[in-house]
Amino acid sequence: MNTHPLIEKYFEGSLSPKEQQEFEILLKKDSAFYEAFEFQKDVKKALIESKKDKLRKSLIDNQRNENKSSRIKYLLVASVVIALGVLSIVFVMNTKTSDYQQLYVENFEPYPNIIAPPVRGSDDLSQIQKDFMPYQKENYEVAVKIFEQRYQETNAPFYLFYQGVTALKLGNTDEAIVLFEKQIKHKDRFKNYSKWYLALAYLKKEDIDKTEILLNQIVDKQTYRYKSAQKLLEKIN
Amino acid sequence: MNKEQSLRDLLKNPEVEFNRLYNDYKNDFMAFARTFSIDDDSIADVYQEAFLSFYENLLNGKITSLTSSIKTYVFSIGKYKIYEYLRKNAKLRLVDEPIETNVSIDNLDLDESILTERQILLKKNIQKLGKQCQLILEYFYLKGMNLKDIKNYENYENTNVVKSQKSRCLRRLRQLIQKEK
Repeated sequence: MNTHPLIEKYFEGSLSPKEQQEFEILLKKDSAFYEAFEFQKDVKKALIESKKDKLRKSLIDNQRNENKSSRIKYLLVASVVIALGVLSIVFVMNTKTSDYQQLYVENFEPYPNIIAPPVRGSDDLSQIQKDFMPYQKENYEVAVKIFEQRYQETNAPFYLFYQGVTALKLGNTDEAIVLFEKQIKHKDRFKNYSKWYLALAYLKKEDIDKTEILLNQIVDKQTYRYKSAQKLLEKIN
Repeated sequence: MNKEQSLRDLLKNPEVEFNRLYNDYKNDFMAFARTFSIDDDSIADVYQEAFLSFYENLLNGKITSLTSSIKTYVFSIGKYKIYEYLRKNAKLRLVDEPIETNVSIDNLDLDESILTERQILLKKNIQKLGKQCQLILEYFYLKGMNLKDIKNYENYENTNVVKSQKSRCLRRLRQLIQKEK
């Protein structure tokens, strides 16, 4: 199913007035065009509804937690007052540090498993799918060992990338830095992903010079997460 | 931080950001809505629906920038939904004043949508697509990224590869829903 260029442009919001006219004529006269357009409109609607479901669930969970916590709040008032006092002292002393750590937390998320996502309804898993299963299930302690072993066996650079992400997730920042630097030397398609995560690793180490160099490279070349990199740079400066 | 920046933040991490706003505005909204003599449970429902409508209109591109604060938008939508609730429950007389809004919400989708059979099937089957397919569809249809943006963002070789991948994803979706019909 090749998407008609005008349908593509419609969803990109880039139809010129002339193309808009042509688009409307095709909608009326060409039933295949009409059907293809309606299908994609439905896909968009379905995507929006999925997102709304996810947010609805999150708002309900949040409300449930809020109600639960408000019940015990009264009992905790005294300790909260003391804790706030202590926290404000810590906050004043460590404002800059906590800013960087906060930025790291806001920006870091494990890269999705795009190498071998499990296929629903299929019992037969390939070796790679089995390798990625612990990562998929967020069992990072196991995943990091598997990726290390597989990289040694196969020399496939993507294992190195995922090993780096997993190490970073586990808080082993120095190890992650070594892994990403090695991964980048492979110059494969994961190289640009590694750069973003390497920048985050340096941010976590609060090595802001190196973080900035990497973020600037990402922004200049408009590679993976360049918009986030731009925003991060603004916040760091 | 300017207003457009805030919208980008909202869409980047909607669960976190919306929950934060939800908590921030809740007391004010409850106080405002109680003046209409509605019970608290119904107000909570209306309040939640106001956020979901706001989110939907961000995703479908009907709100691309804000002419007022996010709070004003959410309250305007909430006010619309309160009036809808009162109309349905016959508590609103025709002589009542029309809604006075600080922002224009006329062009927004605000009513709860009833999905067609195909949309329901699509929603269910999108989850069965691979992660990469889900990302591409999301980037293209929800995040307003064109094929070139996606190519750069995901480090594809060229835009034709993205185009073919997107077509394959749509074809796969068609096959999946066909099986269930």
